[in-house]
Parts: sequence; C-alpha cells; structure tokens
Amino acid sequence: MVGTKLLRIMKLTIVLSIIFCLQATASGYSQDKKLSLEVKESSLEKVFEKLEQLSEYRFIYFSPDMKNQAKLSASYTDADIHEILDMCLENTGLTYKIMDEHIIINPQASTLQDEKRTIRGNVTDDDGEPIPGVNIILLEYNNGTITDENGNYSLSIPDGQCTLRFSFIGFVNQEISVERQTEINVVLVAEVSQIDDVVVNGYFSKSKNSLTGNAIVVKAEELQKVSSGNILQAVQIFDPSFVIAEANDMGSNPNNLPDIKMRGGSTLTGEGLDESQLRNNPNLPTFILDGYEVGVQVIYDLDIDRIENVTILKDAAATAIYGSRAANGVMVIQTKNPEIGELKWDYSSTLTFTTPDLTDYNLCNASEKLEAEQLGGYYSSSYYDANLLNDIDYQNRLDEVRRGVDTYWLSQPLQTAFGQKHNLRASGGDKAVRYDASASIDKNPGVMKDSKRDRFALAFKLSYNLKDKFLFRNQIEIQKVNAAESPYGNYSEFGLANPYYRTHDENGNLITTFSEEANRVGIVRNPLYEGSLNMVNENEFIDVRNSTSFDYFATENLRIKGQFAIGEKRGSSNSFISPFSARYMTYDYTSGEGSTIRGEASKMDQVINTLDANVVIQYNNQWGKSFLNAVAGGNIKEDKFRSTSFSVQGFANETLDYISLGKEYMGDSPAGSEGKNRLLGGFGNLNYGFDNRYTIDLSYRIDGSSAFGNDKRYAPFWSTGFGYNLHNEKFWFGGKAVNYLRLAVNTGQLGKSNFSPYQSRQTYQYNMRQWYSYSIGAQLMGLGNSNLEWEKTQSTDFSFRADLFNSTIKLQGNYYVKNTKGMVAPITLPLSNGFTTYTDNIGELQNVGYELSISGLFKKGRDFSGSVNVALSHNTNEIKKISNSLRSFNQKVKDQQNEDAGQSKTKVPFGSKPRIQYEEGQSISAIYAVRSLGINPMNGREVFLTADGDLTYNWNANDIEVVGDTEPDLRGSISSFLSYKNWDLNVAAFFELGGQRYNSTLVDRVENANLRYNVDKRYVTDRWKEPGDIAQFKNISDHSKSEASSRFVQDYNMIQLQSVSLSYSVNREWLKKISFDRARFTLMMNDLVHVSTVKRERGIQYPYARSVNLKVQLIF
Amino acid sequence: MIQKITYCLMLFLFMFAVTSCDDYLDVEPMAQYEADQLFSNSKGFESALIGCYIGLTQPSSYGMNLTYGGSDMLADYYDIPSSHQYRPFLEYNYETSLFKDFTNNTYLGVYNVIANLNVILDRLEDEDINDWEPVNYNLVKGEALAMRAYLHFDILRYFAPRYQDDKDFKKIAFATEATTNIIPSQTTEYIVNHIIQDLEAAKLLLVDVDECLTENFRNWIYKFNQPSNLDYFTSTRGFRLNYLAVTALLARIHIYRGMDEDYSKALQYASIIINEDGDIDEQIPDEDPSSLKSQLEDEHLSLLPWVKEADISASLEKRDLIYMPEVIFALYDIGIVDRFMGLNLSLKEESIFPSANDFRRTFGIIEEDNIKVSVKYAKLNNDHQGKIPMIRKTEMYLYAAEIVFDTDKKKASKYLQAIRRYRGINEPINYEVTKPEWLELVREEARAEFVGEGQMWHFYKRHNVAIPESPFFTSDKYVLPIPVTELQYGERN
Repeated sequence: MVGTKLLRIMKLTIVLSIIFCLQATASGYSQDKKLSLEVKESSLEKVFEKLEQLSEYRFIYFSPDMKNQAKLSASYTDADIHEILDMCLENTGLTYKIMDEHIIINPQASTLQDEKRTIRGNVTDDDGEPIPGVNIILLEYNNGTITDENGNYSLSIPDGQCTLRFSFIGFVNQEISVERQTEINVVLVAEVSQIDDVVVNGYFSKSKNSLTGNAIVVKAEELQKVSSGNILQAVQIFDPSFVIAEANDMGSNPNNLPDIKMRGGSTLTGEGLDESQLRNNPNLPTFILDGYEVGVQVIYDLDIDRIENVTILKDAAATAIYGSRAANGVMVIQTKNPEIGELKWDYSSTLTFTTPDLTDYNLCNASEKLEAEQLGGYYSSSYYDANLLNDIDYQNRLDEVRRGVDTYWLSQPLQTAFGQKHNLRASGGDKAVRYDASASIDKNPGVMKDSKRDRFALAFKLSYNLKDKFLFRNQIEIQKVNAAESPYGNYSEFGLANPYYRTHDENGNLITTFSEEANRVGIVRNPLYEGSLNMVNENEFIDVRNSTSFDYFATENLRIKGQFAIGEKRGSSNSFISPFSARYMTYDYTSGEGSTIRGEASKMDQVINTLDANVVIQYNNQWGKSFLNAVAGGNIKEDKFRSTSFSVQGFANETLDYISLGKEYMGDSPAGSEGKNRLLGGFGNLNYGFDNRYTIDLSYRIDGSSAFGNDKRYAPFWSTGFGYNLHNEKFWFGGKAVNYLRLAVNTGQLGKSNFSPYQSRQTYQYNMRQWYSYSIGAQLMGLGNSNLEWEKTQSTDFSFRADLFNSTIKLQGNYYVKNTKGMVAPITLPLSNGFTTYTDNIGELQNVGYELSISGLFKKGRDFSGSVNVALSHNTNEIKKISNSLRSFNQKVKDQQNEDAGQSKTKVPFGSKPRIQYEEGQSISAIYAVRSLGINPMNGREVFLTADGDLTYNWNANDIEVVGDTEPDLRGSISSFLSYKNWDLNVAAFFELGGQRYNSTLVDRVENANLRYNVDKRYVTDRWKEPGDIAQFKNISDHSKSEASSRFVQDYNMIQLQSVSLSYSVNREWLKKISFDRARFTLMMNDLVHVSTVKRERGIQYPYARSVNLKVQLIF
Repeated sequence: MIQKITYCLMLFLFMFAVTSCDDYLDVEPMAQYEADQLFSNSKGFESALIGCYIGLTQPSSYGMNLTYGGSDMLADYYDIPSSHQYRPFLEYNYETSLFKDFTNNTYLGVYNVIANLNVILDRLEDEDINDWEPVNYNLVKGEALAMRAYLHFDILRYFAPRYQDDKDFKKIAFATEATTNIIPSQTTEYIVNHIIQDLEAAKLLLVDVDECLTENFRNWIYKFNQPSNLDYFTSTRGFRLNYLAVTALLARIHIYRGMDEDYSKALQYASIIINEDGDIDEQIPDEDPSSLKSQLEDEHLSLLPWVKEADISASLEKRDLIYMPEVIFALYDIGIVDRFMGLNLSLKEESIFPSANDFRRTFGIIEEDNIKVSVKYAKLNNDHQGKIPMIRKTEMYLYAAEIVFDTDKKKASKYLQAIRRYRGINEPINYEVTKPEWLELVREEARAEFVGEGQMWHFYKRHNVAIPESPFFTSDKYVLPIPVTELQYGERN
C-alpha cells in the first residue's frame, strides 16, 4: 500500500531520565519556539526529518508529492516554524497546515480547485465518545488530516470516487469509499484488547487459541470492580478453584497473609516436619510478577491500581514450563506498561471506612450472664460456708446489674478505621522511549485499635525501542510496609470478659483488676488494661527489586528475550512488653530478683536476597495451513535468607523501651536461621497448529536444585496436549447458535519442592555448649537423604470452551485428575539408626475435580448493557498412601486426646478441638471425632457410638472416625455487571455448599464454657435442664469436659457478598473543558454480608470487618 | 548499535553456558558444616571424634541413664520411696511410660553416637594416610573402633539375654554404617565376635602411639590434663579410649562371654592391667598379709597406681572423689553435677559398705539435704569434678579374683584383699568357701566399688543371681525390653 510509509514519527534522543521527559513535554507545542537549521542539497523529506528531530512536530505528507522536488540548501537561525516552512515550500506547489503537533503537507489547493468539495464528519468509539487525533488519509490522493479534540474533521477532496482511511492506535483501521456524501461519521471499533487473545505465562506469550490447557485471565477493570484493595480476594470471584483458606481466628487482621490453595491441597503435615520446612507454605501457588518469581506477601501488598492483568495457570499444559514449581499452579501478574502518547497523569484515591462485624457473636448481656451462672450452679456448693460466700458474690453482681452495668466488651478495643490510599502515575512516551512512574501510599488501619498495615510503593519503568529490532526495558520497584499489631493483643480476651464488670471506676480511671470473688481464688483482670500500656509489636520491611529485560527481534519470526532481576528485602521486627503488664503480676516477678526482670523487648532482623535470570528464544512461522511456535529457554534463580534475633528482659519503666535499656539477654545466645536455594532450569515448548483446527502442544523442562539430594540433582517435567476447534470444521453443525467450540485435553508431570534448603545433606554442627578434654566436638545433625527429590504430580485435564449466540453466552469447563506422588514426608526410623526420622519421598494423594463457568452478555441500545457470570468448582481429595511416621502420628494424637480427656476444663480451656489425622482413603480436610447420638433426654448425658457400634456414655479417642469434611461439595461465585449510560453497578458474591464445620463455639462457649467468663446465650437456652428435655447440649449442671464428637459437626453452607460497587464516569466532553481526560467515582462495599448455616463466633483473635470505599480516579 | 547488542547477548549466553551447573547447585550452608567440608582435613575427624565423646556424656547414655541413673536404680542402690517418680525402676515395672522413655532414650542416645562413629570410620576409608600425622590417624581409627565396640557391647548387655542362655538371640542391630536403611539384627554370638575383632584391631592401632603407655600417664594429673608440651588430641588419654582401656574392655567382654577359653583370655587381659602393680604375690605375700600396707604405699612404677589415703581423706575441695589414679577411662562432663539429683543411699549404706572403716563409706558418702549421697557427682566445690568413671582397674582385680578362684583360692583372695587394703579394710577374708559364696563376696566388693558407675547390674546379670534384698525382682527382668519402635520399624519381631 502506498500509505504505509506516509507517517514518520519523530525520534526523541534517548533519555534515561524521567525529568528530562517531563521537561521536554512541557515545552512542546509552542509555535513560537525558535529553531536553527542548516541544510545542504537536501531533499524535502530530509528537511522534514531534521525538523522532527529539532521540534515536537510530526509531518504528515504523501511521498509521491516529494518526488521531483528540487534539492534545497538553506540556513536558518532562530527562525520560527512558519518562516522555515514558508521558505522551504516556496515554488514547490505544496502548502502546509499546523494542527497541534502535526504538520500536514498538501499540494496547493489550486491544483484541485475545480473539483474541490469538502467532506465533514465525526469520529467516535463504540460508546459514542469522540476520538481526537484520528488520522484520516485520502488514499488515492495526496491529502490527509486529523480529527480535532471533539472528534470532528473536515477535508477537501476531489470529485469522483475515492477512499478514506481512518486510523488510530488501539482501534481497527477503517476504510470508507466516498461517493457523494458530504458528511461521513465513523465509529471506530476498539481493537479487541490483546489480552483476550494472548496468554502470558511469565516467560513468553501464546495465543489463546493455541492453548491446549486453560488459563483464566482477569483484566484490571474486572479486578477493580470487585475489590479496592486485595487482589487475591478479588481473584477468588473469577476462579473459585483458587481458594483463600478460611482464617476464622485471624478475621480481618490486615497483617494476616492469606493461605491459598488451587485445586485442592497437596500437603500432609505431621510429626517431624518443623516450621522451617513449612517456611514456603507447601500449598501456595507460584507467583510471577512481571516475569520473575515473588512471594505471596509481595502480591498481598501490591497496589491493585497498578495491575494490568492477572493470569491463572492451572493445568499441566499451562504450567509445565515451571517444572518443579508448577504443581500448585502459577499466578502470573503483570503491571501496567507505559503507552505511547503525551504525558498522562493518572491519579486515584480511595477512602476506606472499615467497621467491625460482630454479628456472629451471641454472648450474654449482664443479666443473662448472671442467670447463666445461677443455672449453671456457679453459686451453689455442698458446703454451707462456701454458700454464704457465694451469696455475697451473687448479691454484689446483682447489685451491679441493677445499677445498669452492662459492658459490651466486644466493642471496647475496636474502632471504625479510616484508611486512605493514593496512587499517582505518570506515563507516556513515543515509539522509541516510553516511561511510566508511579508512587502510592496506602494507610490501612485495622479495626482493632492501633493495628495497621501501611504500604508505600514507588515504581519506575522505562522502555527503549530501537527500530523495532531491539527492545530494552528496565523496571525498579520499591515497596515499604510498616505493620503493627494492636497492643490489646488477643481479641478473644474481650469475648471472655463478664458484662457485669465496669471498664472504669467512678473517677473515670481504668480498672486494672476486678474485685475478687469471695469464694474463689485468683484475680480477673481487665483486658483493656494491657492495651493501655506501652506494648509494641511491629515489623517493617523495605523491598527493592530491579528487573532488566531485552527483546531482540532477529527476524520477523525469531525473537530472543532475556531478563535479569535482582531483589533485596530487609526487614526488622520489634516487640516490647511493658514491665507493668499483667503477666508480671505473679509471685515470680514481684519479689527479689524477679522484680528486676519485668518487661521484655525483642528484635529480629532479616535479609532476603533473590536473583532471577532467564533467556528465551521464540520462533514462529506460518506456511500454508500450518502454524508453528517453538520456544526454548533457561533460567537460574537464587534465594538467600538470613535472620538474627535476640531478646532482652528487665525494663525499669515502660516509657524507656529502647532495647539497649534492658537488663540482660534472655536465653543462651542470639537465634538465627539461614538458607540458600539455587535453581537451574531449561525448557522448551513446541506448538503446532493446522488449519486453525488442530493444535498439538509439547512442553519439556529440566530442573536442577541445590535443595535436592546429590544423587537426584535434576528432574524432568513434561506435558503434552491436543486441542480441536470443532467450529472450524466444514461439517460443523452448530451453525450460528454455537459459533465457537473448542475441545482440549492435556496431561503432564509437574513438580513441587517444599523442604528446607539443607534437608538432603549430611551436616555437622559444632557443639558449643559443651567442651570435652580441651576441645570442642562436631556432631552429625541428621542422616540426610541424598536421594531426596521433587514431589511429582501427574495432572490430566479435559476442557471445553463454547461461545453461543454470537458470543453472548460463553461456557467453559474442565475436569481434572491430579495424582501427587513422592510427597515429601518424614519417615520413622528404628532407633538403631541413631536418628528417629529422615525425610523421603513417600505419600500419595489424589485430587479430582471440575470447574465450570458460564457468562452471559446482553446489550440494549447504546446505553444499557450488562453481564452475568457464574463460576463453579468442585474438588475431592483422597490420601492414597501415607508414611509410617504419619501412621504413628495418628496413634499418638489419639493417645494424647485420651490423656487430655481426663484433664479438667480449666487446665485445657479450649482443648476439645478435633485433631488432624491422616488415613489412607480419606480426605486431608476430613474432620475426625467420635460419633455421637445426641443427648439422652432422660439424664442429659451424651451417648456415643463406639467403633464396634455399641452405645456408651464414655468418650474414647479410639472410637474416632471421619464425621465430616471441611471441603465443600461445590464452591462458586456469582457476579453481575450492569451499565447504564455513565453508571456501572457490580455485585459479586461467593458461596460454598455441602461442606461441614466443627463448631468450636458450641464446645468452647456453650458446653465447656467456664462460668468465670462470659458464655454464649445458648448456654442458658439450649442445654438440658430436666428429664424429658430434648436438648442439643448436655445437662446444664454437668461440668465435665465435652470432647470432640459429631454432635458439634454441622453442615456448612455459606454465601458471602464480596462486593457491591456503583460507579459513575463523568461525561468526557464536559471534562475536556476543564482539561481532564477521564474522571470516575466509585462507591464500593466489601464483605457486606456473610450468611452461613453454622452459627458460631467468627474472628476469634481478631474480628472480621466490613468496609465501604469511595474511590476517585482521574486521568489528565 | 544492534550489532553491539548482539555481541553482548552472545557473550552473555556463552557465559551462561560455560558455568558448570553442578558447581552452581552446590550450596554451602553457613550455620552448619556439610560432612564433605568437615572431613576435608584431619582436624575435622578429630572434632567429629570429640563430638562422639560429648555424645556419650549426654543424660540419655553415660551422663545419667547408664551410670548413676537407670542402671544403678535397677541394681537397687538407692532408697526410692513409693511416691517417687523413679519408683518404677525399683519395682522393675517395664511397662510404664517412664521406663519406656528410659529405654527409648538410651537406645537412641547410644546408637546416635554409633552413627556418628560410623560416618568417621567410613570417611577414614577414603583417606590417604600420608596426609595425616600417623599418630592422629591411629588414634582416630583406634578410638572410633573401640567406642563402637564398647557401645554395642553395652546395648547387648542390657537388652539381650546372657550369652550362655541364648547366644542366638537376634534382635540387636549391629551398625557398621550410617544409613537410612534398616540395620540388620545379628545374633549375640556374631556381635560378640565382631566386638572382639574391633577391639583387637583398635589395640593394634593404639599400641605404638598411645601416650597412656608413657610416663605421663602415671601421674594422674597428666592423665586428665594437657601437659604443656603436648597436643590436646594426643594427650589427656584418661578421657579417651586408650590402649589400657581397650585391654580392660577385652577382659570385660571375654568374661561376659564366659565360654571355657574366655576365662583364661579375660585373666590374661586383666593381668596386663594388674601386673602394672607388680605380681600379686609380691603385693600381698603369704606370710603376713596385714603388715604390708605401708610397703604397698611405696612409690613404684605402675601406670595405674593405687590411690593414696591422703587424697581420699582430703578436705572436700581437694578430695579425690573417684580415685583418679586407678581410673583407666573416664568421661568428662562438668554438667553432671547439676544433673545429679542426689539419689538416697541412707538406708543402703550398711549393706553396701558393711565395714565401718571402709574409706568409700567414710569419705565417699556425704550428707546433703538430710539424705546421703555418693560424692562422685555431688555438687561440691571440688577441683576434680565432672569425671564419670567408665573402667577402673579394680574391675580387673575382681575379674581375676573370680577366675583364679577355680584353681587357686588363696591367690584369688589376694586380689580381693588388695582392693580392700586400699579401701582401709584389713579384716582377712575367709576364702575356704564354695564358688557361689565366693562370687557373692566378689559382688559385695564390686557393689561398694562401683557406686554410681552402672557396672553392678552386669555383675548380677552375669552371675545370674537375683538382686539381693529386692522384693520386686524376678529373674526374667534381666533382659530389658527393646523399645517398641525399634522392634516395629526395624522389623525385629
């Protein structure tokens, strides 16, 4: 085509500093700018090129016009653009027009005068928004123009038939032949965003059509519709097989990192696995941020406004190139990249109001509590003297209740938290150099007073494109987090406090301990007291990462890409316990030496270094009906961590809390840990497509890791898949109703490694605590296992994707079977080996499940559109084989439970939880307890079923069996989106059906409730009181401890309204007037409603919260 | 420009390719030593060997369980009231969790040291002797072999029936390598043979290099302290399995096996130790046994001289608590004095030390918190504390007295007499008795001698007699039950 060479875009000198960019842009478009130019025997084109270099102007001209023009020589000093152009174009028959930064060169009107007519029009996008700056070129002739800021244009054209081409970046080019019209309005269709077609896997991109597995891609806008803060929470809506584990204890604590599993868990933990082995949470998927691996914390703290898209890869075909890191799935996150254009500011601000959600607490008020005490026999004793004292206690409390004392302790340490987040981003650039800088601050307080997680981030991206041959990119990210826990400590203390106690005395002073009970020893402390002291528990870290990458486009078909990323994270935690804390109010600390060691401070410093580099060569070609894409690459990765910590005790005063003021060290020597892990891998991927109907996909990876045994340093991983586009067959019967149908199957072997760096080694440690005969000795730390290797997961996936009715309804589903073998587990050794366990690959587990999603789009007129998405997932899990040590762990747990069963309630206050057991043939999420037949109405005692099926009143741990499973039958999400004119409404919810929960509230707060503390209302209402009562809970005067039984296991069906958001985009035309590009206001409510069939306390150590956000986004 | 970049790229790829993958994946831990690193020079071997001795001093083995703790409780040394937590030992109640913990910990503690020793012995195979000081090589290998034999022997003595009763008993693991595979069980006969072989080999390795055979050893100061002119590793031989200790061990195992030729072997090895003091007939002439006391105190050239009365009776700060000159091999752990919980000897005092003149009674027992305890590990402000005797020369005298009795009753009595003399007992012994009566006399002497040393149990077991005075003991208690996990996971049922 003639037009392809028409546009020449000016080049900017390479600048590596954003400041320069800002200045350059700021000085643009001034027509008064003086230019100096000297040309000798140059063609006009060369002159224009020089002018482009000197100024901000871009020339638009028709190259045939430039032919046959005389060469010119001239020299200008401090001339303005008009002077230069006037002189250059003298006698050329050409004329010019300046529109913003564009200079359009046209032949002089006279040549076309006779036939001239003018055509006008308006260019808009799908939504009817005008598009300024659209290039309009008259293809047959030498004419062109661009639209103004309202999308309007006018152009003189000759009579007769000709063709106009409308083009604009991000939109599909449109050519319209002009006959006799005088007005042509054009609607440009946005180029279907590349993300729909392309799947990014962290190493390279692949067209979605060539995938034989499936990948879920979530775009920024979609994410932002359901969450204003947490990306991980939002992803759950789009893929219900991506599960954030319920953290009932931690509630909405902003410092609680989520535990995530994809497609079921794959880890057995038990005796012998220490904490360091679980350092890398074995269920977590691998997170890839902009091409390099990061930990879950980085993603948790990442600003959602910076994200471009999130891709979730789950099956073998999609993840095989991650080899030993693939088995739990891979989540690829890409941040926004700079776009071509003038400097654009993008500002967003979110104000968040968070309020505690205490609806699931069902505690007694003051008078109810007193009634419970009365009924529960708290004041009755078989001794006359004791009863006299009891009466005094009761009377004192009754007096308080009558005086109206009814403290709602639950709300005492809480606040309505006001958080704010601001993000400012500047980006722009041209074809050669682009930049993007962003800064954000996120003040994120929790609902418990003084708990917070504040984040600060800076990011700077720069890219340089050399003649479309070479692309260099650099990205620096700095993330800083300051986190603090509430000085009030564990929230459960407030759930225990009795409502007939006051918080403050008559003079308004905080009460430290409540009046002692006449008939009981021990004192009850005000839980608010600790919070009034100087208690510190905070940690902060700063994480700096730099990633450099290059792309070399050797030929049209061959591309070489490399990336090198380094990161360093430095963190420290500090804690201080006031010497006035209640924990020091015991005899040990109040007399003699003890009084000098009250108060405690500890400090921990940690450094984590990461290095990640990879090289990828990609080749693709197409001949005839065949399409081939081949990729080969390799990567190296190193992780290093080191931490040291120490504690000091003995502080004189709580205000003198600096660690150096402590009296002495606690413990023998400073603690610390260190580890280094290296990974080396090579991979290849071959993707062959034929006629857009068949696709074959092969992947291979070989991984070597320093953590593995010397004898098993390298392990291979692979996948193979086949895809079939049924709709492209000639015999396709689906017709128009089914316009797309793709079936695919893939299988492969993936790996996972989750042991500590040195576990495979035979290591020695010097024993520094004891010397022997004038020297120190070294002792063997473990037997090591030089055969230790990856866990291997064989994963097979069947999937389909169908688009119905012109793609208004989309269906996608898959069925998978994942067999994990060689799970790393401790093996018990006979004592004669000298060590009790070693680690080996034993244990097998199977996850089987399906996922299904349906989405429907509808559109009515120009103003009204919407969509509904439903996603469902199901997973069943079965342990196929366990190690001998897990088997003995099971028995030990039962023995321990039998032993605990004899202990009194006060000794083990919340001890009756079902314990984890692993049995072959069962699920890892099974609930183990003794089967119960309920409460005998005649005597109020619980009747159990023994393993042999006999009835008994005696609880025995050996009768324990599976009585439920926390994994639901179905997990899903529903989200819907409505758009009317400038208004958008979005609702998203997720639900779980068919699982079970062990209701600890019933055990801890109703049956085993200690009447010294507050209890659940059901203590009074639902317990057996007299013969004939059909009650759920045993005799109210029976104070024996209830053990884990199926009576407390309840069916769990839950729905949570994750988000409701309403947003308004301000009319652009109106915005133009105040020189804004875009403005959008969003009101969003998160975690609004949580309804479940299990009535229990949620948020034990930290309450749950709801939040309301107000977000403003401005682009200018 | 593009060309330059291409060159850089190629260089990068080249560098990437030539780096050896395996080297890259070899990561060295910082807080621990990898075995390869430790054993890269002879110092590492020495440290590992010292580590084994430290392992022996743990409470799970000779720091408590196999000396003053479980072993002596089983030998009925102490008064343990019925409310006391250690009562199950007195009652031989092997089914209690307390006792199971004891056997478990002991088994694990002992075999842990064996695993450590096996790594050393295995690594030594690959060593080039020319890289070593020959002395050090012989010491490391000889001591490691001897210690492995010592430990297997003790496991066998506690957990297997007597050799004479069942030499085909096959539930004890004989570990010759550190491995994660199950270590095969061997018969008692097999294990004893191999222990003897290992000890003989150790003896050969040590004979020419051991400092214990030099003048230095004679002075107990240098037996347990480093002479300034000597390297720590080749000196302080009293704290290590030295040549004399290996010799004594051979006597111990032969008398344990108790087959016909073993008694003469045992006597032969015991005599090597005893002869250090000169001929027994010279020590105690026939004519006037009681008059020789002063003569015996004269200086002579024994490597293991008798302890002097002055040292036994010195003030508590200076007193020789364990009769150091007579000790052939002791462990060192100052921590034992904090651990020793004062097991009560009060009610047993009379029966353990019938003679009121016995130095071991007058100076060897002190009153502490209203109970009487042995001074051996009591927390005193004493200069020589923290030594745990493992083999002493009087054990050899007792063996000789036992063996020689069959052929020469009078001579046998002299061996016993010699010990008694140096413990302040001058009453003559009536040796015209039957063999069982004689053995009872030997055991009585042993009982007074080995307080807190864990040896007495083996005397009773070897002689196959009931524990005297114990109402709870039955003869089936002599075989301690092997821990369940050992049987179960070692497939030894």
